[in-house]
Amino acid sequence: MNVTVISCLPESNGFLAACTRTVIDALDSHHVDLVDLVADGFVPAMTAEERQAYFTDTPICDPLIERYAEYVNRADALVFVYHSTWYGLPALTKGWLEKVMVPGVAFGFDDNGTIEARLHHVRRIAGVATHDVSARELRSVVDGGRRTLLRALRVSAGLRTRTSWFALYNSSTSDVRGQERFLARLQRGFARW
Amino acid sequence: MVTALVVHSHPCNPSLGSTLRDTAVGALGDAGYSVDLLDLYAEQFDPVEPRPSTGSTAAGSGSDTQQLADHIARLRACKLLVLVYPTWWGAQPAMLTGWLDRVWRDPDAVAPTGRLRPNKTVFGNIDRVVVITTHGSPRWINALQGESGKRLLQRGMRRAVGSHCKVDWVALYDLDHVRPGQTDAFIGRVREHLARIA
Repeated sequence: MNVTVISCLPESNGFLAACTRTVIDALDSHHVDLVDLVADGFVPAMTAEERQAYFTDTPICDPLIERYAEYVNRADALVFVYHSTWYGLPALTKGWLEKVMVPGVAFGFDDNGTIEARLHHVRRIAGVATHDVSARELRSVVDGGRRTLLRALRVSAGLRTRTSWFALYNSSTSDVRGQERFLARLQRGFARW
Repeated sequence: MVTALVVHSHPCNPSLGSTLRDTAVGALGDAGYSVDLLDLYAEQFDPVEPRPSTGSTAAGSGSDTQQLADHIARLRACKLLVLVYPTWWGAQPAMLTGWLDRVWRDPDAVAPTGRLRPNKTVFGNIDRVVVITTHGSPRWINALQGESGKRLLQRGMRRAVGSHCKVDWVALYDLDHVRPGQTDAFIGRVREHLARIA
């Protein structure tokens, strides 16, 4: 399989880097394209130029986004790794969806202007999320990242696309053993792919 | 005079977003509010924490901290908060996501998490939030997608403003198949809504 791993790794978050490495190592029998949003210098806010290009035939006007779109076009699976601060995706990951999952990549319009899904080639979508908050608190507000990736994005992929989710709650207070258990869970989960 | 803070996020000017922003500012002014407009693109707000290792931010980080402090002060000075933005992928655009991440945090919490805690109202001065947003897809697709943006504001934001605060959802759906007159009707609805709550 071709797997695209989209990782939002602030430099200060060493544990999330360990999660990303574990996922990539567990996928060693597959081809992995890594999107490292921080290291790549990705700028998340949609610019006026990009927004104006959005509904044209060439919605992508940046070589970095072009490369990301190539990854997605050949991907059999998408894996998102992030740390959530405000109950949802971080700005970098959200901006990546907005800029890469444009018409022609994630969806298209038929002659009647009806929207049609274009991510049928993506057979798996997975998320690895760490949260400052507890599972209970997150559920009482909204697990925004999970909804966006496993529901909103899945509408473009189809119901045959399998989804998996790995979450670590109370991550800022989790001890080394809790972190090791989580990494072992990632290793087991992704080695099965 | 009561202050209303209008927070706007849209890259294009003119656009439906900028029209909605101007409509909101006008309607609130007519209703007697003192209106403070915070236009995230015009302010060149950075939705991402500046990276410490890139040398270029060394000079910029001072003004970045100053900007965050300014936004917090403006939030503390208003009674009504109006958010105007397009919903993309079921939630707030990256620019606004970054603003919530960076500005809506508990200033007294231990760094670096600064997360909002229940029963601790950071912006208890705000008694009403009005969300004005547009969706490209119809309502049923948004329901299928889980409407995380709506819940994020209706439930998450309430943690910071207190449970007494009402969060109004004024939304236009199915903008990709908009019929003539529909956007004008929506602009009228925004104007009426803001006039009514004043």
